[in-house]
Amino acid sequence: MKHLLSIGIFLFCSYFSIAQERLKKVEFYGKARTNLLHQNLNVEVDTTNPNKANYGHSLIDLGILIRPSNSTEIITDLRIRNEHGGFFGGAVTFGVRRLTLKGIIDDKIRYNIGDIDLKITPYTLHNNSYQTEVNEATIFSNQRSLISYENYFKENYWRQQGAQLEFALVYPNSKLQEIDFNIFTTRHNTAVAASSTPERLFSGFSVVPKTLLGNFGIHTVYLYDLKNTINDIQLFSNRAHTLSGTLNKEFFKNYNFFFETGYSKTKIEDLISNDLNEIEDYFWNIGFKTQKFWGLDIQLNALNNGAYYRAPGAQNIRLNYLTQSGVFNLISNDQVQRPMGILDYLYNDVNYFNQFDESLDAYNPIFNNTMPYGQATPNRKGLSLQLTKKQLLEGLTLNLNGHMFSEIIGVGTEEIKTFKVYQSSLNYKYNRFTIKFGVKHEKTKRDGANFEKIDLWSRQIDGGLDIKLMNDLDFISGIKIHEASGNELLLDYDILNNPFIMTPTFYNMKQVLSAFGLRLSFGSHSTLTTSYNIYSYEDSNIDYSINQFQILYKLNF
Amino acid sequence: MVRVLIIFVTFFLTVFSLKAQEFEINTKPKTFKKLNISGEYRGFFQQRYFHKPYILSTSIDDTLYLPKQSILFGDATQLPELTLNIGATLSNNVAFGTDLTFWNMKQGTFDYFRGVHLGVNLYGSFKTSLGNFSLRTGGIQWLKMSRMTFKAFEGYNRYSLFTRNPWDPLTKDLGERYSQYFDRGAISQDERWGNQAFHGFSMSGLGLPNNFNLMLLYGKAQSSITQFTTVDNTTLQQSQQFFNTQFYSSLIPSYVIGGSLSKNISNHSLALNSMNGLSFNDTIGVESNNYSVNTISFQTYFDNLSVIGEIGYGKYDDLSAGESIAIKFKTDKSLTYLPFDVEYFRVSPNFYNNNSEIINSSINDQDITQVEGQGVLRQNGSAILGVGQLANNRTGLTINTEFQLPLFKINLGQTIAKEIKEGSNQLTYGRTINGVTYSEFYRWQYASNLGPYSRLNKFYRGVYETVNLDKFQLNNNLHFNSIDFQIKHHHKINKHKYYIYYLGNYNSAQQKLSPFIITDESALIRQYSHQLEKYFQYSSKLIFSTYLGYERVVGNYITDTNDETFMPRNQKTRALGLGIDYKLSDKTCLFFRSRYFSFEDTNFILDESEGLETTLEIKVNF
Amino acid sequence: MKKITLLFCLGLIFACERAYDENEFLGNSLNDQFGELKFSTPLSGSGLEYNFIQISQYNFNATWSKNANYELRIIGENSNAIKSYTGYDNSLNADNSIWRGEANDFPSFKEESCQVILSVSDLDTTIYDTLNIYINETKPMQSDVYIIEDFENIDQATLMQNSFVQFGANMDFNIQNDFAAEGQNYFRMRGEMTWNEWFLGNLVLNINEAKTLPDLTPSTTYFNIAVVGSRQELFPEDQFLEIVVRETDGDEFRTQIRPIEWSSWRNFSIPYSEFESGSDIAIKETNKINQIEILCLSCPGVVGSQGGCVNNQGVLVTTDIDFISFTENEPYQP
Repeated sequence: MKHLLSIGIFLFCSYFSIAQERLKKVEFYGKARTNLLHQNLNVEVDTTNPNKANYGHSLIDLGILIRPSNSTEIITDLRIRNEHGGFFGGAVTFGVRRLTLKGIIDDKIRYNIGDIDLKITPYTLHNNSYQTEVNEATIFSNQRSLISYENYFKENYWRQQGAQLEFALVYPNSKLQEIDFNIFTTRHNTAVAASSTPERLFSGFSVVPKTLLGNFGIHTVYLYDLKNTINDIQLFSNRAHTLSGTLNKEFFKNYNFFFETGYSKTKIEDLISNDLNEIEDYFWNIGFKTQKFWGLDIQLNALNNGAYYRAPGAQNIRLNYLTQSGVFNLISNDQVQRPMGILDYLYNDVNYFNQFDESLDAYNPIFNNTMPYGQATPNRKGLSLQLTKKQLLEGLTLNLNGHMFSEIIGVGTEEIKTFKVYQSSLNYKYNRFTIKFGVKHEKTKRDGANFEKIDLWSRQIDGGLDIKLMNDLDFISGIKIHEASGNELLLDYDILNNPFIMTPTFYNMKQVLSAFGLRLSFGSHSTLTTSYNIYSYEDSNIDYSINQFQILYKLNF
Repeated sequence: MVRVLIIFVTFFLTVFSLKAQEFEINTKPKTFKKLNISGEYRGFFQQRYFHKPYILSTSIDDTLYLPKQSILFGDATQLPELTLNIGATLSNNVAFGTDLTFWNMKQGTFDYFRGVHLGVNLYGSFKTSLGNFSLRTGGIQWLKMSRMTFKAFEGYNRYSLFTRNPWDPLTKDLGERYSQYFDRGAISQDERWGNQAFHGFSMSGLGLPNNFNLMLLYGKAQSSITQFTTVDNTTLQQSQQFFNTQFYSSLIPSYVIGGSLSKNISNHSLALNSMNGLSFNDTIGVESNNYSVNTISFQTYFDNLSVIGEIGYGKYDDLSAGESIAIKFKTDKSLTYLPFDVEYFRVSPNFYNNNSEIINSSINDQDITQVEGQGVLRQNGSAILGVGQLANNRTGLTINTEFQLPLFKINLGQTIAKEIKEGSNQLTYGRTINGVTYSEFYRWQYASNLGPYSRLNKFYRGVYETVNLDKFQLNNNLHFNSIDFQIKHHHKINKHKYYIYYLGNYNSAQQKLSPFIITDESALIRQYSHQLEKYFQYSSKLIFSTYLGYERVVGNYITDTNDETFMPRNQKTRALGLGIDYKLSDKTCLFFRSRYFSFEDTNFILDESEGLETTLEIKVNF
Repeated sequence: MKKITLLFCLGLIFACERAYDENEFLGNSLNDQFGELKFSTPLSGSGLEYNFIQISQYNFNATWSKNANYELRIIGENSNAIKSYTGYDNSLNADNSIWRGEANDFPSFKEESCQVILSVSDLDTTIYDTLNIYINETKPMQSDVYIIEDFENIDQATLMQNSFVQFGANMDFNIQNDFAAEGQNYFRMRGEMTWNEWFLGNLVLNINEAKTLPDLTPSTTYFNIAVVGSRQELFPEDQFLEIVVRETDGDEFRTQIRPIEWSSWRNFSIPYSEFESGSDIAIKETNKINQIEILCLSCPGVVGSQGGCVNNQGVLVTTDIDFISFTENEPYQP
C-alpha cells in the first residue's frame, strides 16, 4: 500500500511524458462502477433483528499499461473505492488488483511475470464454471459478471502469481507443423511458521504438437510443498500427467474425435510419525463431435474418472457453499441463521474461492451432485450426449443434453449412486425481444438398505425476457427457480480426500428469484441498470423473502 | 524419465526453428488515450503563540491550558497538501472522475497520509427524444435544488477576505480576489459554494418537452449518518474486495430521496421540489426518523420587479406538518430609487430539513455530542443568525439595499425575526471575529461543551457559544434583530490600487418586537462586530493587507451569570492582522498572514486568551 | 492402418479397468453408522461344559450386522465371579473372546453354572443374547506364584506377632471367614481413630527362608493383593493402604493403594519396579525381600495438627485384605 504514493506520482509524471512522445508509452484502461442496494427482509415474527439494509459503493479500477519498449509491457490495476455515505475521504480504500510484466525475448519467447491467468485442460488446470445458473437472464448475468471480475474468474482461467514462458517450434514442410510449449511456476502460498504451513508452489508444463492429423498434448501439473521452508511437519504433493488430443475430420470422415487420459499421484509425508500416505489413480475421457446428421451438432463422450484421481487445479467449486452473508445473518426471534440462497450467491457477500487448494471443498448436492468438481470429478463414469440445433427457427438456438453417470466405487457402501441430468437451453431473438430459457433436472439414486438409499432430485430453471424499448434502453427481466427434494449424505473429506463424515441431509426446498429493470447503455460497454428483485425462500424449517432495489452503473473503458 | 526427455529434446532440437511470436498481448484491453490530471498543492504552515494561553478545562485539581506555543504543518480542516483530480472522458457520453490526496504532517516520520477527498464520481449522459439526461453516481457530488429542499446558504456576500479558506482558488491576477469583491460584490468560489454534498445516484433531465427540467436524487446527504467500521488499508484483504458490506458496522438505511420538476415559461420559472429523508434511530430498523419536505419554488421577472419565492410544507416523523414560506421582492432603482431586496419568511417549528438553508432550531433530532469524524456539527436551539439566514420556528422580514457614492459602495441589510412558538431555553451565537482561530484550538474534532465554562462548541471552521436562559424570567418568545452594514472603497495611490472594506454585523436577541436592534439591557444578548480590512496592491505580484476586528457580546441577567462575579457575559474580541500575498510564479502564490487575537469576558474571567497566529500558505494550481 | 494403430493404442488405455482391492468402498461404512443392528448368528460357546484342566482355553462365537461396541459377560452363579470382554467389532470369535477360566477380579470362578450375556450397542440400540454353561473344573493355579499369605492356615496370634494396632474405637484387626476373596479366610483391618491420627494399625509379615523369592526381574515381578472396603459402601474420605517391602540389606520400598472406595474384592497387581524408595541408591533384589508391612491409614475424623476430615467422624475405616503373593511375568489371575 505504501507504493500508492509513488504510483500516484508516477501516474502524474507519466501524464506529461505522454504529451511529449508520439509512441504511447503509457495508456490507461479500466472499469468503474457504482453499486447501490436497498434490501428489505420479510420473515414471520422477528422483532429482534434488522430487516432493512441500504448500502453500496463506488469504485474505479484504473489500469495502467506501460510500454518501456516495443516488446515489454507492465500492467497494473489500481483501485480506489469509496463506500456509499463515506463523505470527505471517509471509508475509502485503495488497492492494487494486478501487477504483471509481459514481454517477448528476441521475438521468439513470450514471458509473463506477476499476476497471470492460466488454464490447461479440464483434467489438469481448469476453473470450473458456476453451478447456480443454466442459461441465465441478462439481468442476472450482468450482476454475475461483477462476481467474476472481482474474483478474477475469466472463462475457465485461474489467476495465479508467478512466471510463465511460452514458445513454439516450427517444422516447415512437415506433417508435424509445430510444437507449442507452455511452462509456468506459480506461488500457491507462502510459508507460515505459526500454522506450520510450508511454502507451496504450483508448476506445470504443456507440450502440444500440432500436426496435420490433429493436435496432441502432453500436460503436467504439480502442486507441491517446498522442503525446509519452515520446521516441516507435513509435506504435500500432487502431480497429474495427461495426454490429450483432437483428431481432425480428415482422420475420420465427418467426425472430430477428442480424448484425454492421464494419471495422478498424491503424497502426504508426515515427518513426525515418518508416515507416507500415497494415492494414485487414472482417468480417461473420449468422445466425438459430428454435424453429419440432420444439421445437428452432436457430441457424445464417455468418461471414467478414478476415485483417487486428484488434480486440485481442476477439481474445484467456485462458490463456497459454507459461507454466510452478513446481510440479515440472523432471522426470526429464534435467531436462526438465514439459509443462503440464489439471491445471496448473486448479490450478497458470500465467498467465492479465487484460489484452489488440496482438498475437495464442500459441495451442494441440490445444485450439482453429478459432477460437483467439474469434468474431473473423481469416482465417476458415464456417458454424455449433447445436441445443438442452430437456427431451428430464425434466431432460435436449442440445446439439449443428457448425462448418465455413476460412481465407480461406492461411498460408505458397496452400493453405487447413479446420476441422471437432463438439461436444455434455448435462446431466441425475435424483433425487439430476446428470450433466454434454461432448465436442468438432476436425479440421484442409490439402492440398498434404508440407510443406503438415496433419492434426490433438483431442478433449476432460468428464464429471461429482454425488450428493446429504445435504441439504448432495454427492459430486462428474469426469473430463477430452484427446487429440490429428497435426501443425500453430505461428505467431509480427510486430507487424502476420503470422505470420513457422512451427514444424512434431507431437502425439501424451493427458492424463486425474479427481477425486472431498465438498462441504459452508454456505448458498447457501459450500462446503468436499475432493477427490482423479489426473492422467496422456503424449506421445511423456515420461510423468508427479500425485496431488493439496485442501481448498478458499470463503466468499462 | 530424464533419458526420455533428453532423447526428446535432442531429436526435436535438431530440426527445429523457434516460431516467431508477434507482440500482441491477448489480454490487453482497449485503452483510452487521455487521462486528465489536475490539482493543487497547498503547503500550510501555522505557528501560534499565546501570551495568555487558553483554558481547555478546569477542575478542582487542575486547570488544563493549551500549550503556549504550537506549530502545525498541514491543515486540520480536511484539506490535504496535494490533491490530484483524475478524470477521463471515455466517450462522448461517459466519464469518470476521482481524486487522490496526500499529505504529510511534517513530523519527521515520512509517514504520508493518503485518501480521497471528493471520492469516486461516475458520469453518463444520454439523449432521448424526450430530452437530454445526465446522471452521476458515487460522490461527493455537489448539488442544489431549492433553498428549502437541498441547498447551502449563500447569504448576501458579506464576509471578510482577510482569512483565506483552504479551497479559495488561485486567480490569474493576484488582485482579482479583492477587485472582484469590489466590482461584483462576490469573489470566485469553487464548486462547493451554495451546494450540498451528496453521495449516490442523481439524474437530471434538461430540455424535456414543454420546457420541463427534471432532477432526481437517491442516496445520502451529509445528514444521513452512516456507520462504518475503521478501515485499515494496510491490513485490508484484497481478496475480499468484493464484499459490499465489509466496511459498514450497520446496514440500517439512512438515505434521502428527492427530486425537482421545473418549467421555464419565458423569463419565469416554476418548480416542484421534494426532499425526503429516511433513517432509523434504533439498530433494528423499527423507530423511524423520517422527514419529508415538498415545496413550490418560483422566479418571476418583470421590468423593474422580480419575485422569487418558495412555499412548502415539511413533516418530521409524527409531528404535524409545518409550513414554510420565503418570498423575496427585488425592486429596481427605477422603481424605488434604491434597489431593495425585501424578503418575508415564515418557517414552522415543525418544518425540518437539515439539507436545506433552513437551520433547525426547534426539533431535537440528535444528540450533538454524537457527531464525530466526518459529520458536521450544527447549531441546535434558538440561534442568533446573520442577515437573511433562515431557521425553523421563525418568521420575519429581511431588507437589503445598496448604493454607490463616488469611490464607495455601501450596502446594508436588516433582518427582524421572531420565534413562532416558545423555543428552548438555550440561545446560541457564533463568534464572528477570530472564529477560525478558535476552531483551531480543537483540531481534528467536532466537539461540544468546550472551554473553561463548557459553553463553546466547534463546527467546521468556526465556533459558537451556548447561552442558557433563565426560563422563569422569560415571558415572551424570542425576537431577533440583525443588521449588516458594509462599506467598500477602492482607489489608487500612485498607480497602486488599494481596497478598503468595512463590515459591521450587529445582532440582538430580546423578548419584544423591535424595529431596530436593541442596544440596552432589555436584550438578552447583544453582539456587535466590526471588521475593517485594507488591501494594497504594490505590484502585480505583491499585495499587502491589514485587518482590524472588534467584537462585543453583552448578555443581560436572564442569561448565564458567573458564580463569582454574579454578572452576565461581557465579552470583547480583538483582532489585528497583517498579510502579504506574493505571486512566486505563474500559478504559484504565497500567502502570509499574521494575526494578533485576544478575547476577554470581564465577568467570566477564565475565558480569555491572547496570542499571535502566523500562517504561511503556498498554493500551486496545475 | 494408422487409424487402427491409434485406435488400438487408445483402446488399450481405455480398456483398463481398475480394481479397488484394498477398499470395497470409500470412507467409513454407512452400515456401521446407520445400518440396523441385529444378530446374524446367535451366541454360542465351544460346548456347554467347561473343564479347564482338560482344555486350557475356550472361546465364544456370535456375529451381528455391523461393527459396533460389544460386551460379553460371564457370571458365575454361585461365586458371582465375572469375566468380561469389550470391543468394537462385528463378531465374537477366537480372536476376541478367549477364556482360560479366569475372572476379571476376585472372586474367582468355582465349579458352578455360569450365565454368558452378550450385549451389542450402536448409537441408539442395544441388543442382547445369552447362554448358560457349566464349569466342571476350574482353572489350575497359574505357574510362578509365590504366596506370601492367604490367611488360611495361620492363627491370629502368630499372624499378629509383629503387628501393631492403635488405640481407637471398634478396632478389628483379625482373621475373618465370612466373604474371603480366595479360600475361606481373609484379614480384616477395621476401626476408627478417635484422635487426630492417620495410622490405625499394620500387619507385618516376615518372610522366612522357605518363602524367600528367587532373584527375579523387578519389572516383571508383580506384588498381588486382594483389597476391599466396607461392604456397606460407607467409605471414609481418603482411607488407604500403604505397602512397605523391606529387603535384608535394609532397603525399603513403598507403594500405596489410595483411596479405597469399593465394596467387592479387587486384585491389585503392582510391578515391583513401581515401588518407590526414599534412597537413590537402593536396588530392588527380590531374593532379599524379608518383610512386608501393610499399613491401614485414613484421614482422621478428629481435626488437628495432622489435618483431618470432619465427615469421617463415626465412619469405620475398612481395608480388608486377602491373598498376598508375588507372581512372575504376569499379574495374578483370580
